This record gives sequence, structure tokens and C-alpha cells, in this order.
Amino acid sequence: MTPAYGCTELHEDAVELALGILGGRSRAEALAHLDRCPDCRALVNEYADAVDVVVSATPTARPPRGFARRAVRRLARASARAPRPRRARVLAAAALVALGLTLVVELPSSPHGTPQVPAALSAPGVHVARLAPTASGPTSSEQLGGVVFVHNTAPAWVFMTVSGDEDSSRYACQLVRADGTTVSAGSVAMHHGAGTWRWDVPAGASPITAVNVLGKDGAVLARATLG
Amino acid sequence: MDVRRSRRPEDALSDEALLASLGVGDQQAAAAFVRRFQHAVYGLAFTIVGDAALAEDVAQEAFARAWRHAEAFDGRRGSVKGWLLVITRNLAIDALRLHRPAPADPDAVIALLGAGTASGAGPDERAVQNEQQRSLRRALEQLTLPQRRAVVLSVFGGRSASEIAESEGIPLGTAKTRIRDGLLRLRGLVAAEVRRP
Repeated sequence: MTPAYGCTELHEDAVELALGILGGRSRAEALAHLDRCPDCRALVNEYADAVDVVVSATPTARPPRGFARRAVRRLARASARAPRPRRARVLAAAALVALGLTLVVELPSSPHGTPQVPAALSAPGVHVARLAPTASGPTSSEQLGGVVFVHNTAPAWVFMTVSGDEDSSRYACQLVRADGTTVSAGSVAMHHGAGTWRWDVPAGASPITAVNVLGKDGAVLARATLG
Repeated sequence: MDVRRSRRPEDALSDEALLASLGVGDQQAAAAFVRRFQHAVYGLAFTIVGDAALAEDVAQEAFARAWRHAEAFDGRRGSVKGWLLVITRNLAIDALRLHRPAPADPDAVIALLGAGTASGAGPDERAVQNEQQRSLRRALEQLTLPQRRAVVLSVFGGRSASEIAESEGIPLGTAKTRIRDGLLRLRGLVAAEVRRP
């Protein structure tokens, strides 16, 4: 009878598992053991951390000329061939929203050439929409862009990244509800042409259909319309 | 000329935000993501496979994998760069096994880690001279020779303990011990090198 795979065997295999070089049956047994043994998980994590430290210290090297262009083109081709599942996009957006409180986020100031963020993603959990200048609002020196994420938890909250040409300024924000009413929602401060903004939406209120960014005169400079 | 305009806004995103933007399909974020990590990713790929064309293929695929699995990244478990380099290492080792079944010569890999100019590389592939490069080389030099060979073969060659035991002519248990002790010691040495003034 084959002896059961336990902590002793795992200790023998732990470093190879962390290195990704443990193969076949041993790997399967090791992974099954880790599912039920937190101490051994900690040991493997320690080795994995060591691998990360060593690998991260590997010298950098300048890739061949045009590498970045070719890599991005390959990403675009892969994207066209196999669109990421909608759920993945929503989760990724949710990740950005979750990070929003602690990050300084900048996005391109011009909407031109940045059409890849979907105009709106209607899915449970997170809505994503691009912030774009309104036709009547901005002058060329006030072109604003960005992305708005609406997190439909209870209470719902909105996170927005804004970029523009102004080094430092402050723009008022406004929520537009489905019933047509608008609500003042603080302001976004810009630093070096970028800013982030977060706003909690009171529970039970009419759903948000758009987020406006206003100029000093109250004109709508940019709007993100949620689908 | 307004110098400030030459700076791309997305380059100011944190690594995590950039990855999340990549996840929602922003092409400018994709370009910024590649720009930010291309030297690290290509450097690791080249160190492992030792061939410029193959390294480029591996590095490009690493970025494609990162895009496909961006939603799987868990910031609590490590950095974006670390995660991306794990992807790169796995791909490079797969490519290495496919294209060069025989174990890499650990001395050649060590030479690459510290040479500054990757052997056979053209100007564009020349390794960037930096402190990081010297740090890993110095740390490796502090391991015993048997430990150094075992660590390099396993970490950068993707060789299992049994393969190392065979190629080095040592018992399996000895190979495992050399990998384990060498790796943990190397981690400490690298960390100490990074902290050096």
C-alpha cells in the first residue's frame, strides 16, 4: 500500500513545488496536501517568496528596437481574436475601483485614440463609462477625459479618474439620476493634469445615469453616460 | 515646447491601476504596461533562454498572458512586477525545454547575469548596466559553487531536483538540499544587497 502523502513528503517537495518544477503525481499529491495543511502552505509560500525575490533581481535588458510596438500589436490581435469575457472586464474594472481610494490615477487628456474602454458596461456590480468632453462645454485648453466606475453595492459609490491640460485646478462633480434630477457631488482636484474622485451614493435613491464634470461657470465640461 | 506634454499621463498610473486598465481593454494602458515592464520581462526571458529572438517571443507572450489573466492578479499576494515575472519565467522555461532539451550550463547563465553584455546580443539586446545586475551577481558569488549551480539550474534553467542530481552526479537528496539551502540563502543575500547604500 502506498503511504499517504503527508507533511514529511511535502517538506521534501516544497521547494520544487514553489519553483514550479515538481511534476506528475508528486505535484498533484502536494497540491492536495496543501489544501488541508496551512503550515505546509506557509512553507511553500516562503519558498515562493524566495523565488520571487531572486527572479525580481534578474538584470533588466533593453529589448530589440520596436519591441513595445510589436507587443502591443500582438495584444490587439489577441484581443480581436478572443475578446475577453465580459465578466473579466467587469472584474478588472472592479479591481480598479477597489484601488481607487489609494491611487493617484491619470488617464489621457484627449478622448481621441482611446476608444478601447467600453462606452458602458451594463452588468451587475460595476458600470464603466468613459468621461468625454461635451460639445458645448470645453475649450481646447480644457479638454477633459477619464473613466467613471459605478459600483452598485449598498450603498453604491462612484469612482472617477480625470485627466486634463490644467496643471492644478478643481472641477465640481454632479450626478445625474434616472428621474432627471441632478445632485452636487463634491469636486475633483487636479494635480499635474490628473485627479481622482470618489462619491458615495445614498441608498434608495434613483439610479445614476450620468456623471458630469463642471466648469467654474457651472457649464458641463465633460460627461460620462452610463448605459 | 511644453516639456510636460511629452510625459504620457498613463505612465503615472500605479502598477495595479495600469494592470486594471489593461483588464478593461485600454490600448494606451496596454502600451504603458509594456513600456513599464519590457526591460524586466525581456531581461528575464533573455537570461533564461539566451537567445534574442526567442526571448522576444517569450516576452511578448508574457504580456499577452498578463492581459488574458489580468483579473486573476491578487495584489495581496505580491506585486504586479513579481506576478508578471512569474508568468515570464514559466513561459521561458517551457520554451527552453522545447528548444533546448539539454540542461543549460549554469556558468553561462551566471555569466549572463553579470556580464552586462549578453553574449551574442546586438546593441539593442545589450543588458543594461545597473546596480540590480551587480546585486544578483554578487549575491550568487557568495553561495558555495554547488549551491550556486543548483540554484541557477532550478530557478533559471527550470530543472527538477532529479535532473540536477543526474547532471551533477549527486544523490537526489543532496540536489534538493542544495536547491533549498541555496535559494533561501540567496534570498537573504539579495535582500541585503538591495539594502546596501
